Amino acid sequence: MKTVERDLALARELDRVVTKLGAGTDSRLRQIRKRGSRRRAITRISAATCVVIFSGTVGLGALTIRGHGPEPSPPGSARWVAVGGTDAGWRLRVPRAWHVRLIDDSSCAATAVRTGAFVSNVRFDLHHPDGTTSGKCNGSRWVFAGFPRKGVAIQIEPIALTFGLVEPQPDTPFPIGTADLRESGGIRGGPAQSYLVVWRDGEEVMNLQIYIGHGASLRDRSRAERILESLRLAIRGQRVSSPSPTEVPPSAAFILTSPHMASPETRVRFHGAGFSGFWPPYWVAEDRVGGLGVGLVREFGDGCEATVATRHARVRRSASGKVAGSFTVPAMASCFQEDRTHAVTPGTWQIVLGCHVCDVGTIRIRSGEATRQGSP
Amino acid sequence: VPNAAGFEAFYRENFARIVRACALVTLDHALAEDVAAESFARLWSRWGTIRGDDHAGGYVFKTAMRLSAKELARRSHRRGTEPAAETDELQQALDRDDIVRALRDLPLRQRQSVVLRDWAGFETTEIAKMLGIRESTVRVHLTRAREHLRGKLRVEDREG
Repeated sequence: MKTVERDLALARELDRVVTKLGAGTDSRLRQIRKRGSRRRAITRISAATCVVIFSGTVGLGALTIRGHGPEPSPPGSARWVAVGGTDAGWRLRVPRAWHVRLIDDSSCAATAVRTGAFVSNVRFDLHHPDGTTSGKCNGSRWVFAGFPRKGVAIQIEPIALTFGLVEPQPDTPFPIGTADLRESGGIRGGPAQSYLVVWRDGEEVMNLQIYIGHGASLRDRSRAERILESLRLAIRGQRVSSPSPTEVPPSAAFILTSPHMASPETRVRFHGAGFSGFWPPYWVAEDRVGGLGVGLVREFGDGCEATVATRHARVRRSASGKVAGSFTVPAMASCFQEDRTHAVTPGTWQIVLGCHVCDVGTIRIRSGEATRQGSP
Repeated sequence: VPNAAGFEAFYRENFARIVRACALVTLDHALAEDVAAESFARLWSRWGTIRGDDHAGGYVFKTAMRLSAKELARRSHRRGTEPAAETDELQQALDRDDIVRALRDLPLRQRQSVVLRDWAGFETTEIAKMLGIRESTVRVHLTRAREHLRGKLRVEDREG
């Protein structure tokens, strides 16, 4: 683009006006250099300050990131204590002011993780429906009635039963954040609940749960996040009790009962098929059948998911995947994760094996006297 | 360490020119000297990083124009709240001049454009960079400023 020509006549006019200005340059030079030098010094100090602040920020960030590494040390770690260890199979760090309750589940743990823990910001009596704490192999059947609104808790639980019906998953990456946990529907009248099954070497090794009361403070939620991030496994994922039973989809397995209808205390026989592959030796040995080995489950309209283990359960399996066994129908069940009981009332109940969602058949319960009583 | 002798030579050669440019823009002799001094102080603070007189000239003109605009805006904001400063002889002579009165009627951008182009001899592309506006805008300012000044001066001539 061509530039606009200068208007020289105008230039002369302008020059005429200012031609006398700008004298006395010497007097100003010293002052100008002084001001310029001061300005340069300020610029350099500002630049150095920025570098120091930037370096400090980067350094702090690096330290924070390093804190997520193999040896976590949360800020203010002097007020945090280590919990767990090699014997437990895991370790984590918790604020000294928080409550830690170790739960011995070594009698029923199916993996190398043998000890559970309940870490909470408030004191809370965690227990099974029968009031006990340890050795129930119940897969999170804890009672959360009365959990404080401000409460936040993290629960580590050994895998109690290895009757798995899912494909092995890749190793769970650490550190674990709350975003890695899956939200459950929550506990009726209780805290929000999220959970995660931790996998290592193709095996489920622990259940991880976080419970957050609806009035929990942001500070406590943040601390719970940091506790979770500090969790590390101290063992490899080896199965203690049985091989991984995951080869056959659950829909292939079924059982039929005889009789089809039974009242409580009745001895019921059953037989079924489709149990090839995933049937673990764990279940074959009679003395190991317990807990929810063979259970009954039924959902009621009042929100109670009634769950009960049958009594005197026996199971045999053939090489072709056929099963046969027997159990005695119990009279009372517990509401899942609630401090309530429910009678085994007439209606259709699901028969479950291994876990309370592993249903393989149904039985109709009726009222009246037991038709065939007794132990096996 | 900045070359003090080089700066001094540049200063002696250009200070008066910058004062005059600022005076034509601000139409205030004292303010023009202050702005020019501050522009050279800033130039001295960066003297080691600015290579060559051309770059230094561009830098000091650009700084002077921006400081002039800033000071005029500040003065306009304070007008009415402070008493008018006493003026020296040079300023009184300036105020009496027809072309200064004509320049006073121009908006700042037009005044800057005509001073930088017609008096200082910068190209329109350089002026656009200095003022932070588009070259086409500089052309528009230049055309309008010239029309205004020529018109005013012709009228004054006829009246004279």
